[in-house]
Amino acid sequence: MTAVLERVEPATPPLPPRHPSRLARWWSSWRVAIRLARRDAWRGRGRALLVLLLIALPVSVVVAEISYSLASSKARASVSQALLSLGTVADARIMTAPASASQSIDTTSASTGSGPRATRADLLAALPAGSTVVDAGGSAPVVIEAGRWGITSAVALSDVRDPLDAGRWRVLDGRLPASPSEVALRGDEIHRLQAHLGDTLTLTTTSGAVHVARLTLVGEVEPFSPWIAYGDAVALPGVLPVDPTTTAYGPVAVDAEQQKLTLAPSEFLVRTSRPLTWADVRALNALGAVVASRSVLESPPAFCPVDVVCLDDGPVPQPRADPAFEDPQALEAAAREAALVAVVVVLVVLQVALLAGPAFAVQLRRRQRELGLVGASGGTSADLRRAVLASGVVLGVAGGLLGIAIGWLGVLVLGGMLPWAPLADNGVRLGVPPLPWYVLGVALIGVIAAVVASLVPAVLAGRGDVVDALRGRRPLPALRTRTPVVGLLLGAAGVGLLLYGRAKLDTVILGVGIIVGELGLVLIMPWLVVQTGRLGRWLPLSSRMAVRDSGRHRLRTAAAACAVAAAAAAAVATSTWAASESYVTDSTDVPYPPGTIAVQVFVDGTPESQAGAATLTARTTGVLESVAPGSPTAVLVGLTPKGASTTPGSMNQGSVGCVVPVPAMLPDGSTPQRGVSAVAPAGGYAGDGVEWQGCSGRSSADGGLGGEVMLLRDPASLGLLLGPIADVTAATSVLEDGGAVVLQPGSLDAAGKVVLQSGTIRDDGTPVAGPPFRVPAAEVLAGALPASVILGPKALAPGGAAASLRADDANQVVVVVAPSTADRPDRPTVADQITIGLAKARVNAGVQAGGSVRPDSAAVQLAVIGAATLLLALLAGLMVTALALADGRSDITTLAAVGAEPRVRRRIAASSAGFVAALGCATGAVSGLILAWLLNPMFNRFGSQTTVIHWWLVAFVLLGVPLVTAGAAWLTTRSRITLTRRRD
Amino acid sequence: MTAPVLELDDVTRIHGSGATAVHALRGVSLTVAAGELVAVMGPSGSGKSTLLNVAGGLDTVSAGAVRVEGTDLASLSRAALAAVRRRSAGYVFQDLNLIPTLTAVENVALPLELDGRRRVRSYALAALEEVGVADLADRYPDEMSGGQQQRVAIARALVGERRLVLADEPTGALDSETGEAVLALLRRRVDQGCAGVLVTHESRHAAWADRVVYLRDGCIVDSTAYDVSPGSLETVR
Repeated sequence: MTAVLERVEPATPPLPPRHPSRLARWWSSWRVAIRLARRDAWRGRGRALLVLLLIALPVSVVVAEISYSLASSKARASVSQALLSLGTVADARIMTAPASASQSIDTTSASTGSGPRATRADLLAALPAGSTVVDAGGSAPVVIEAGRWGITSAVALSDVRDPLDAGRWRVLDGRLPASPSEVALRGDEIHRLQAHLGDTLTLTTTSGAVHVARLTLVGEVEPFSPWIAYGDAVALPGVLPVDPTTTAYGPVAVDAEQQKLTLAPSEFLVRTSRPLTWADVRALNALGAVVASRSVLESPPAFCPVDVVCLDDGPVPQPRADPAFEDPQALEAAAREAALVAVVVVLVVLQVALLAGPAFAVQLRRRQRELGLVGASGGTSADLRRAVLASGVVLGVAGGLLGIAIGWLGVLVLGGMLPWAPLADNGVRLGVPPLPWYVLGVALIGVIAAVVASLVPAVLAGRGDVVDALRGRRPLPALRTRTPVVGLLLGAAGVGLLLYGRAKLDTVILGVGIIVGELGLVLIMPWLVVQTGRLGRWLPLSSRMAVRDSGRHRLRTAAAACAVAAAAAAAVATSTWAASESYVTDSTDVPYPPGTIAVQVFVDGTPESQAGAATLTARTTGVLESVAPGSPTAVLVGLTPKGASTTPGSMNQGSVGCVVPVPAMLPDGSTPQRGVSAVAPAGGYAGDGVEWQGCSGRSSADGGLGGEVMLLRDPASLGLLLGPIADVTAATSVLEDGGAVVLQPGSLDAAGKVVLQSGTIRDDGTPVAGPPFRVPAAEVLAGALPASVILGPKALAPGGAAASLRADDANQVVVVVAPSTADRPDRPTVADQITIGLAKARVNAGVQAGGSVRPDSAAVQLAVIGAATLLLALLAGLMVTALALADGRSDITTLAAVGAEPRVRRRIAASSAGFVAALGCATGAVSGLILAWLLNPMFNRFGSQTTVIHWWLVAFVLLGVPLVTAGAAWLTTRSRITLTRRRD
Repeated sequence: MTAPVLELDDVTRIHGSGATAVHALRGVSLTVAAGELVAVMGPSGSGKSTLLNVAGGLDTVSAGAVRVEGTDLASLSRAALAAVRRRSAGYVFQDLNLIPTLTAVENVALPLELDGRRRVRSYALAALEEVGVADLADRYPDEMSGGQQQRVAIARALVGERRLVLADEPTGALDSETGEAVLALLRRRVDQGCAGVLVTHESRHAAWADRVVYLRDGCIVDSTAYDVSPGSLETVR
């Protein structure tokens, strides 16, 4: 014997006592489990980090949202805005209101009474002696011209010689106007005018009497903040008359009692001899003034929250809400919202758990011997389960806390610390965002997700054989034949719930349906993995191995595939929804033909409109003639029923629309949404016991002009409206014969007539529907019209089919012109020239160039959806690949021993990632199409029943995502083969 | 000899069934008393490890009875079997015996903690003291040598009231000098009143035992007391 220890008598200290209570023993066991999990996570930091990030990500998004919304409401933009609204110099801004007022410090809440407003003299009397008060001044809408170039703009008229007024502006170049012959402009206005400092500009008023001023450009300026200066240019008062009706420069006071506009200035900037205190503010409140005081804003009194209306010494006492008087509808709405939040939380938890599940599965593999030793040391199955669940708890808590940190730091950095502060609230930096205690509840979502993810591995650990664990053997769990059947039943139940939720229009039921369906998929997936794995026999060696291996480890494969499937289903469903909506907008927002310019003349309550539709139309055509002489034009005029009010802008102008019978059932078997025509008077349309709805048209981007039936003064100009694509000859002759042109397929009755109906509103406000009348019509299925039905003059003539309508006092006029002149680089575009010409001619109009292709709004959405799916698939695919490689290490070593190239390892990795992604994407795409088919008609905001599938995205999900995932696995896998450690 | 700590009575263990059935043990009977160290020898696949597994309740028997301190393991649930391992029998394996994420003292205290006992650290320290590695109490296994790890493992196997140590090639991963020291420690702990079963390949290790049992194809083919030499092994083969 080489080492004989000296014999010592056994020291036998008394055995430590057991914890007296079961609970204490249970907790003791958890402590051991958590210690093991904590140290294991620390040992495998790299692996743990992946799971941590998975959990942290959703938590951080929610925390950031909470923190940001609190920060932005706290930084209150309101306080900062109030400060910014003072400019650089003013000590206070005062807004006068009738009678006495009370207000919040930030002026966002104020209550005022009625009575005469405080005047400038009243304010001066109430302010500390030696204070200066200037009013907000006014502005004038103008056309500014420099040589050939011109823009429409608004010039602020304020005395910027006074530093108080000058504080509204920032000077970027040159200086502010110092004499009545000078003007300063914003940089982009100067650019659009191709002007330089020192140039002479011509300003022509476009409202009221014509005034022209020739001013020298002396500076490039910008408003100090959006809350203090209005307008794109600034000149001294008196240069041009202030426009009494535009509210371009500060609010124009509306006298509450007389309901009329007054010219008395209602907003003042104040410079005081001493800082205004809250007591001063209250004194001014007594005069009916609401005050933003710099000193109070900078150091608000402690007794008053900045956004709450306060009295002298504290907030206005609020009546306590009595639960008995709570609105039951509001309570129900709150409950529904809570239920929806719960549904979303469950979906997020499920998705995170599915993604993190494989990571816990691999962790179980790694900890196998450790768990075996715990078992050999007397750990029960429950102890082993706890050891794995504790991993979930530890990683969940850490991930949740990490998520809180990421979310909060993100808001801190993006909201205030970065120089450009992308999250800044209207330019106001957020400062340190608040972190309320309840974000811990959000972190709890992370803990739950992690625990759910570790559930299956924990159960497996509890069931596992200690001897197998100690030997490193990995028996495969048996596939339960009942599980896929239960999964199928759950899937069917999910679809049933979706159908029921759709019928009930209940989003909560829909959400529950989605959850149940996804759980069904989770149960079916292992079976699917095994079944598709059988296809492996036709694959090359490495793919065959990978696919078979996936089948053997179907739980981890299935979890990852489910995560991919959920992402793919969401992608396909949302892309279908987006494509279906953009189908509607694309088909209704048809631009005017290329090469045309449409002028929409507003005949409303403005003074310019009082001239009447005929005069405005004449002025418009005059402007068009001067800008582009000899250009063909098409004039469309709105129609009103005879007997309706003739006052432009009147509520009682009446309306006329086209109606179609509501079909009982749509071609796909669903019942249609009950669309209501924009012109439908209350009580609906009369019509032979048949339900009617308004028909729709294909109008230009600014369609929906308020009337759906218009008169085309010259039927021969129809071709100008429809462009060269439509067959206009037949349609033109129908118009010439006294008929109509309609744009919606299926708008005509059996006799080929369109049904029109007018509505008027009685003096007491009751809408009255006129009798429907029918006009022979032609359908035009291409091109754009600003209305759904176009009539020719003959239809309105006595004896015509639409003789009950008149066009004399139309509330709208659209003139479409195909200009004879082309745009030239050395002068404004024809459209700009028309805009300037119309402004100078005092025509309130919108000008729109035809043929402009709108950006495909769905494209960005689809790209984001596709990228997000790819990201999730990559994550799941790579995680599973790592697992497969770790698990299959000995197989790969064996392969190497029989002469396989090192590359085989990469191929196996790529195949296994690709298999998971392909399986997930395929099932996800199918589920997504089912979802879209079920839900799209309900969520389509335009009520369209047409489901448009974005096949490119589906193809990308089906082929692109698996290929990219496989490629990523190939790239990220080392081809070097690590030899396994020899065991006895 | 005092009352037997471990009794195997005509134990049979069959893995699998039908054509793939493997008879790991066939009618093995063995009694180990307190203060007795029994060495189990035999070629690979002879059933040595299975014998240890059924002795500690890690594996169940197909026929026969296993009694630890008089308790018939066959009648126990999985949880009760775990309790037997916490309170009556401890294992020492060839290597990787210790949980890498626990320190030496925590490893020793593990069975006690799993048993819901309080203030286990000082007790575990005393157990480490007994095996002569108290100074390593707060080290993690990968900061210890193989011999030190096995000492800690022996301390853990016998911590608390446990009186049965089941050692499966405890010196297999050690050099011969360290191996002898570990066996000496095991011998000493047995001398202090425990029962021990030592599975080993090497006859010189079996010399530490009071008795040597030879297994072949799941049967005890020979049982020798005290005197073991390579020559006697040859006769077995």
